[in-house]
Amino acid sequence: MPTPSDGSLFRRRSLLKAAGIGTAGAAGFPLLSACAEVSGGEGNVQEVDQTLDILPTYKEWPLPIEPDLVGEPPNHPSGYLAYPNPPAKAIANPPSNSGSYQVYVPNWGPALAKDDPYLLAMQEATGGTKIEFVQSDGEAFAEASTQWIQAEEFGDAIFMFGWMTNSHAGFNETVVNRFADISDIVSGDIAERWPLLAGRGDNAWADSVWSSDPEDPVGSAGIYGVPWGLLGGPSNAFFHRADLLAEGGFAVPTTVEELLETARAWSDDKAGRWAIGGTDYISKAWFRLEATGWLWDGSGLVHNYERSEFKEWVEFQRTLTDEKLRHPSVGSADFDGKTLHRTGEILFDQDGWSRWWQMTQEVRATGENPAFELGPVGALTFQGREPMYHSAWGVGGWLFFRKDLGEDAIAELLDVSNYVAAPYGTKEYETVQFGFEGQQFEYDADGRPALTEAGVRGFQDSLSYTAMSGTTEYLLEGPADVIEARFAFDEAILPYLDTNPFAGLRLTSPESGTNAGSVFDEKVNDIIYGRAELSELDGAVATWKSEGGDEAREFYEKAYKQLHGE
Amino acid sequence: MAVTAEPAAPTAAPPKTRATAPRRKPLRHRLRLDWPLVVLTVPALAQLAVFFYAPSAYSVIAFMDYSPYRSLWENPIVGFTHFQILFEDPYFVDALLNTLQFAFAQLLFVFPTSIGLALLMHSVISTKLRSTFQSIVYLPYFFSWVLVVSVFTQVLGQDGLFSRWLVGMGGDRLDIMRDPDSFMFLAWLQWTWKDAGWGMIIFLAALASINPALYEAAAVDGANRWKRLWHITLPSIRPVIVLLLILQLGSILSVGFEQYQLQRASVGWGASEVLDTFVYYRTILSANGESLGTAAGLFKGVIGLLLILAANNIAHRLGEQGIYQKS
Amino acid sequence: MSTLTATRSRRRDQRPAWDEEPSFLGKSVKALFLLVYAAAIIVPLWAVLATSLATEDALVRSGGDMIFLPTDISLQAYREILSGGAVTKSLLFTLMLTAVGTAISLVLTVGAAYGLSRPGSVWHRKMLTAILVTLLFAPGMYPSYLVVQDLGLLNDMWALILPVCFSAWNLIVLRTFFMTSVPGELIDAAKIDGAGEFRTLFKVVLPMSKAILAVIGLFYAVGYWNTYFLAVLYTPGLETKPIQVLIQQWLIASTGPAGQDAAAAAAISSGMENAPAASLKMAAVVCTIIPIVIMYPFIQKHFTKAVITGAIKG
Repeated sequence: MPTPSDGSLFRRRSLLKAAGIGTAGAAGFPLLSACAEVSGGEGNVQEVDQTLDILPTYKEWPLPIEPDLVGEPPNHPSGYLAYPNPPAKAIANPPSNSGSYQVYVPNWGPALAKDDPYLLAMQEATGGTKIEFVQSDGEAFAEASTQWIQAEEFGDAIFMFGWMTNSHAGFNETVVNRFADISDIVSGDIAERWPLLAGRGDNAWADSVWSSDPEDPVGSAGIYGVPWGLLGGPSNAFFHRADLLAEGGFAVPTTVEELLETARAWSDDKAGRWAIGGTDYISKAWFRLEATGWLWDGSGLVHNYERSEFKEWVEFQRTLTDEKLRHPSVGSADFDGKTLHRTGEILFDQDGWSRWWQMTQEVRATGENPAFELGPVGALTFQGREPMYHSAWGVGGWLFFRKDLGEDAIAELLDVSNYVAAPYGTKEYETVQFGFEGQQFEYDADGRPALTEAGVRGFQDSLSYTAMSGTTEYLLEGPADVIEARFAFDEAILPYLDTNPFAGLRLTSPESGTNAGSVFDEKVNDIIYGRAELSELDGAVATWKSEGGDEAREFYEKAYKQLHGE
Repeated sequence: MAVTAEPAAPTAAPPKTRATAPRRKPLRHRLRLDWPLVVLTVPALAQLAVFFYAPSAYSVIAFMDYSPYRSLWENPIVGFTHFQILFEDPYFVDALLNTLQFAFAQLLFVFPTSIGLALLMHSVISTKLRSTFQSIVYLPYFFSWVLVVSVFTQVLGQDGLFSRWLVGMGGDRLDIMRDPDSFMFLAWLQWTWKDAGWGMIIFLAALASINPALYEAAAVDGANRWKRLWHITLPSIRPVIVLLLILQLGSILSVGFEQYQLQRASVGWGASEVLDTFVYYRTILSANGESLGTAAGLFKGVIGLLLILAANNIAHRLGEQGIYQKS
Repeated sequence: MSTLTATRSRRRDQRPAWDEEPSFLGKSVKALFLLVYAAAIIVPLWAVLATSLATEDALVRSGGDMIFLPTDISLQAYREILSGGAVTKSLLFTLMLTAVGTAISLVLTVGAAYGLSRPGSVWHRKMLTAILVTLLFAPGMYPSYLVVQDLGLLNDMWALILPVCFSAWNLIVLRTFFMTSVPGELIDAAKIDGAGEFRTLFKVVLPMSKAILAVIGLFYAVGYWNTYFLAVLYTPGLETKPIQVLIQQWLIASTGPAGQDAAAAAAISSGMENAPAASLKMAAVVCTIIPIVIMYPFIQKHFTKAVITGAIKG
């Protein structure tokens, strides 16, 4: 096979060898070994190395106001009970800029009008830089964004969530070929111009490094993105309708068995009542299933799929179907957990933490149900076993710049990123998150900013400026009672928190492993929702192994051994 | 995907002589006379050059190890490797088998439904009844698949009309919209609902052109209803049947994209993956699949071409007109 | 054409004398079958319409998302989705897309059909072959995608028009009509009067072809109105989506609660949230069907003529 031209920055095949992982993927590829060599699909390993000298020098940016509840960040973030009013000013002398840029962002809320007062005011507040945020529907964005990037159709910068990049086997290649290497701009001491970006702790910057030359991963490493937020603690929870539980005389379940009992007592299929909504991702923690899928058993990696705990989880899920304890639309497109939970058609549902106070606020605002009360279900045990929880690892996403965007332009956009990196408790944070007093928000009785109708309509849930950077520290914020409960929850599950066995690496699974995994998941869904029998599980596991599971294991095992020096 | 008035035959009736520049004249002279005709045709040709010929030429990347980060000519040639990979790829083979299954199901079940409907309609005497019925059954042909799937979900979904009714009667919910095992049946229902009326119209038109005198003569000779059907009706619409069959055969690997993509999430890809969705998910939505997906597309295109040539050839041998003629 | 019209007009509402009367059973089975078949098409559409007009009360009473008999009728759902929100924008955008696309398609098709209606004219054979070849082969999805990408049309409205604005099938139908149904003498007469080709086309040929132009235009229009695949492929980032994509995201997509909320929020414009969700969705479906139903009688009126010209006579 002729070697790809040197015009390509990235030599596809040899990156793995250089990263010390060798040809794990290629060797086991039955498809490729039979034919001429073609590239792609082998999986990728990128070290997250905090000692690289291209990284910006960390300089702590002290919080202006001490948190009321001091946790152990990042897994147990600190929080505030009262809103710091007035908030501190983080940036004394705003820059003076005049550039005009386009930034592509995914969006799940209503799109902002181009002349929305929030955008205009933000432009002034951040120093005059005009940014047009091109907002696309999040799901469509997730599916198609790497194609736009390949076509160089993303304005001057684009924001990508980490999870969007996972499904794209060649994303590492896309990054070094299509995005600007900003190492020269952000290396070393940047605290003078961008103190808040220099104050990004943990491994935020190290996690924004990609290597372009496979022969020399350290020498060719470059910073390609501005890291987004590093969230702390588990980002999702299982919520119950506290008012309905109390009304029915039920206690909040503490074990999976109790949950089933409550659900049995509550559900009545004929009457159109089902206790349980979404449980698929949250319930895995109750059965000690790994977030990465892989568990080191002392001698090798074992996947969730092969463990007895997984079978128990499937059986639990199947029970929900068989005994009609779960809303029948779960697992289909029609399932609308938020509405069902709000109207009380389901008792329990999984969601991100924001459901709690958002729904509470909404229901209080409409006055539709004064008794309405939500609460999180704690860490459930199963058969007396401890659960296992996972915190959010790594940064949530990156802002990437167009490859041929000039240094001055990138620096100007970094001025905006610096503004957006201001943490909770600063005026800048308040402005980015809530807009401007009297327009998008008003202070409520507790002195906390609350969105006005214009704010809700304009940019609630809308990703625009917040895409420009994560903040220096993730802090809990919200109504005092909610924050206290969340803080307590995080603390309570600390002992059950699992560590990421691959911390320090950014891994892309070999394609065959990803494919076999999705085939397997499909089968499991069939079993869970009653379209296939439990007895088919073992066969599906065997197929998964032979079709790519074992190959993935080999890939991950090499990475694991390399990392831990086994 | 534009809806087109498709079953039209390119074979032109013998043209009447009209004023054109005689063939033997020099090009310059002919151009001076006919240039407006060329100018009128050029926009359409330009459209095809860009959106048919250019992509057809781009198909060469099926034989390359293509990377979007190199210019086209820098991509190494790998010959038929991608085709070999395709046929060893269980997902492709599944998609191919599914496609063939759907295509044959369409031929076997929807086609006869249309003919049957047309025959039935043809025997209805009342003009008013006929036109009312026609208007109804032929309407869904103009609906998009998005509408068809939406309407089906509302009626046959887990929470749909039918399920409610079943539960009301003390039964179980209907799960057909989500059941991969019965997806073929669901697809058949959808095809019939959407397209059978359209097929019916075509056959009805053919039936309407049968000279009633033939029937009368046969009836006088003592042929009963069934004999007339067999000896007059069916032979009369045979050219149309053959024409439509050829068209269907030629597109046997293109069973459509939308119907399957729309229902992929609910029945899973195992049951719904066809060649077009395979290519879409492998190349457009994931990296590194450019050459492989192009190879799959080229395979589909070439097979389609061969099938249509073969079918046309067979039609000629059977004495039918086919869709084009050697001239 | 002439024999056909004659045949049709000769068909009466009476059974011909030579035809034996079918048995009662035969008739009943036939009637039942046709009735069930028609009902299978009408009933779902009726339920969609009924639900779109339903009030929250009526829906709750029926215990479901769909109702069959609207007890109290409310136009609230229509008022909401047509008050300027995402559905309104999308409907207007799709209407515009349909109008522009159809106009372009007709220009291309009429031009080529007339340009190729004179066998023996210069390059006639070459140009016709170049067009007919496209019926035999379909270029792959990715190569087509690459071309659209090279043209910089990704996420651009034109990507929904240009790749499909010309159909060789429609060209054949129209060309056949021009060649067989427009009397050559008229064209010759125009020529003798000194009219050029363009003048002949506009003054003689097109006025005689209104019906078939209407049908072809409507077929193109339905295609543009139903644009979904191209939008999925080329323009997933368009801010205002074609209506089919919006319906798909709202009613079919499995995008989870977050996605559904977004779609619902986007569909409903400011302030008003009084109509039940099921009614809103069905109202959007009805709005998507309405243009088709409006075009439908026109298609029906001229369709038989046009298609038969192509299919049978051709």
